Amino acid sequence: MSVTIDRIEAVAPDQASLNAANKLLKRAKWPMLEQNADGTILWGQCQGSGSTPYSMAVDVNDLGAKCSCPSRKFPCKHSIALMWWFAENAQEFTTGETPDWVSQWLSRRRGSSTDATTDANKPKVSASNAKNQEPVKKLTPDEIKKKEERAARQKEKNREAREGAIAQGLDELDLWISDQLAAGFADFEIRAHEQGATLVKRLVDAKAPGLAGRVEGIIADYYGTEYLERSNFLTEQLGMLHLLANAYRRQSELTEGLQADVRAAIGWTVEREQILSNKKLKQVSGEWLVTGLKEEAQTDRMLRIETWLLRTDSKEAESAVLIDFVPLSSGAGRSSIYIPGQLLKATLIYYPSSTMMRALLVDSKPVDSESRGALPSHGLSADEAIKHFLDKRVTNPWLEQWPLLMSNVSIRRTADDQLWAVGGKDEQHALPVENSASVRASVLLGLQDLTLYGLFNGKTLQPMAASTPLGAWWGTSI
Amino acid sequence: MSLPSWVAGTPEINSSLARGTGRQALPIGDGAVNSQLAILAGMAAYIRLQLPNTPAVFEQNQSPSSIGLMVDDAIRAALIRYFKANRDGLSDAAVQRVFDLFSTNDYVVHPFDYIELEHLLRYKQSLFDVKFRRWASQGDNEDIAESDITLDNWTEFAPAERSNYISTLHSVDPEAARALLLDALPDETASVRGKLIQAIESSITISDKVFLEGLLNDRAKSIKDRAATMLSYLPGTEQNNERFKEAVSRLSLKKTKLTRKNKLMVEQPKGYKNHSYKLIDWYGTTFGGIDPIAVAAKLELKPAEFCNLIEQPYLACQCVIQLAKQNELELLKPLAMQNSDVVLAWLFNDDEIELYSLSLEVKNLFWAMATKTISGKSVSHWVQMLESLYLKLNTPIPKDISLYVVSDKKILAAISQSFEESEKYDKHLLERLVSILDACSYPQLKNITKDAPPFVSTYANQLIDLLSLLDNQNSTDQTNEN
Repeated sequence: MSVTIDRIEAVAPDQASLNAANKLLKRAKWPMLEQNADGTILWGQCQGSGSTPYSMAVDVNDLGAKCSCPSRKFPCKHSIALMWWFAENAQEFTTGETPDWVSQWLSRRRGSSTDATTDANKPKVSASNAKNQEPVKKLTPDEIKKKEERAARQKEKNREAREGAIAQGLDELDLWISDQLAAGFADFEIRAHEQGATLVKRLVDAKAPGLAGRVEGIIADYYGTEYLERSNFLTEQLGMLHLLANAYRRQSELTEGLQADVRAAIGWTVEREQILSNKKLKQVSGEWLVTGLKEEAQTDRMLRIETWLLRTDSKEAESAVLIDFVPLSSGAGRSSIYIPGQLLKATLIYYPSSTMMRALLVDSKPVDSESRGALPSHGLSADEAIKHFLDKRVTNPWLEQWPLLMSNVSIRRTADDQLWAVGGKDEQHALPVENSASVRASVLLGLQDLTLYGLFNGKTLQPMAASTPLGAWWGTSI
Repeated sequence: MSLPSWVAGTPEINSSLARGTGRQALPIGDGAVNSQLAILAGMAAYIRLQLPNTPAVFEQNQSPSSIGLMVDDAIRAALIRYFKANRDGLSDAAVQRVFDLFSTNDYVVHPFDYIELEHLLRYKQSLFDVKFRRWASQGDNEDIAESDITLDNWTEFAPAERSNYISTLHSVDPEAARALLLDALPDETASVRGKLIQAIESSITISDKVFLEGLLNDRAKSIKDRAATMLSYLPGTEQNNERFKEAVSRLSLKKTKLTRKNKLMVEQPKGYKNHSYKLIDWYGTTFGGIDPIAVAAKLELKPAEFCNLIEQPYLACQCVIQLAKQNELELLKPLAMQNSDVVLAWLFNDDEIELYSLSLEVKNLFWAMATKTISGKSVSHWVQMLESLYLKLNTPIPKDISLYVVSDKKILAAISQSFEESEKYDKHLLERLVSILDACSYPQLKNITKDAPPFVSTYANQLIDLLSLLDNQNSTDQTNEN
């Protein structure tokens, strides 16, 4: 896969980083520019203001990067500059053997490169002390086994303790909801902030961070809800919280997929390795179109980055979402390594769920870095798509959003300036376009027979991509 | 399975939820906490499956199709790549060069790219159709009609858009433009009248004489004055004759002491310092738009003789512009070449001059004049002056001169210097040259970028790629026409 300026721009956290990287593109500043034999991994050294140059490495496949500099931006200007050098002057890179610190970094990454070595006995080497590797004492097989057993016992103990804490947290939650019912929704505004904050702290203490985040989100969204809609909003949100608490208590009565949904909603996470090693999980290989990106700042100061994919070589409108988190403090803006319209040959493995959507990339390679793909034409009619969404929500009541691929729709506007995605005979099926997406979507006004791909949350649709008589349209900046 | 009616909420349930079950018990259930929570969950599940109501009426929308052809995907990608990446160092010449090729090919910006290129609006409003401008204003101009501006609806648009429209219309159909103005002016304020009249200033011809004379009776003094000034630039008008007399009265011939040759003297106003803006303005007001051939006749000189006697640089500048407009190549060439430095610098400093409508021969002569010599000049400053000339001429440097420029040692040395990371050198030099040179120089420029560091080569290459795509399209279209 080639490194292009487009791809570099897509991963750069901001314009300032690109400008800073541009200033580093002076050959004298680079005592080392190397690549592995097949040009998939780059590493180099860049002379900063200190005496020791910074060491950085880049995985060409997804432009993941690692640098020894203290920058909180990711990728930092040195890593961007290394990519830039390669994009513009690949001939400057000599071929060498992948250093250990690069191999170890690669082995810890998603979809590790073929160059990555995973030898557990190899000493760990960081980018900053790449030159000063110390040999580490090797463990015997017996010692390793004992160590693993100890870790498993401790893990089980921690799990039991956490289950106990969560059970208490769920009771606290129900008590809080019943307090709100007793006091009435009309006065919620007065007590929401203070009481809500107390509950959030208790849920965090109860090791139910997912639940805590939901309560925080409800309070934040409450203030953003129109006055007349607030009672309905609280009924829905508090009712769903109680349903979640009850479902967690009665997990054994749920299907395996729904159990996973409920546990994830409470805050249990599944390790990447557990997903990759679980042979029972659904795995799909095919050609995928990057339909759009969605970023959301979370209350825990993390940026949640969703990369939405749609399979193009299957008649089923099969979607998947890759979810990454980066600290907001890293200053990351457009942080996805993907560009809307990009085509990937990839194998994905889905997280367990009753409505499988979140996935991990097992492996991937771009189909053609130059050309951009387009939506497949086999979308559902608007009413079929809406029915499909409702079916999914019946299966998983906590489902927040679901991608819809609809054919023969148009974007229309009502007198109050609201945009709608409209389909069906006599335009009887209409989904309001999310306000934040209206500016971009307004160029679709008046175009007929769109095939539209968007995320529907039950209330509004966020258009992500469209196939139109004027060509492909993307809802995310390219 | 039918759902119980309470899940949709009844007035009693809603009232109880609003006031609080502590004050008003729910009308269903046994009142226990668990029962209340179960009712809440049931109602939540019901709400969760409710869809938004479909509106009864939608507005009528027209499609975003445009007056021109939309560019293909390759050009779109190159356009966004260059203009998005190069926001900081974007030059007016590069923007103009790209969008001139758009105009030549009758292209318009693809509507889907509006949001990516919105920042270009500040450079070239007229490059984008009215829908783009309305879209970019994001509802600020809601009163604007949906369709493009036409003869029938132009009065509904904002003054700035109407001025643009009148300006364009006057250059292609002056009679229609005058008819619109005659109809609209009586109802407008003096300020709007002034803007609309100013819109035709750069393209007035003798056919506008009657219209402008009519404005001499306007109720506002500012309009009368503007009309009189515009008339003074039309040969044969009373106002022009007066200016002609004034101009000639400022010139006289004097014999030199030894050789007894004629010397042209200019009577400048007293107290004006040499090279002051005031003096330069005076030359513009006095000699701008005055026919040098007629002046020569008045002084009983042959035109070439008169041009040869001009020593005052700002008089030379005015005569060069007038001769260029009159397409008097034979008189223009020696005068322009002799005063190349001062004319180039004067053009660089005067943003008002428009040379769009000159003939191609005259434009090429201007380029020959501008590139006559670069000795003693900073290459970067020289290129800046060429960019300024390009913006006025709207035609790139011709092929032969372009090839000369890219092989000139001094220019090549300056380009090589720009490869060094230093504030002293202009890292955009190569890219700026790309924006004004003919396409025949691109292979050589591409070759130069091979040795350039990325901070120089990236943007230069992106611009070359974009211009090549647009230029190929232009050539293909011309071939097809032939």
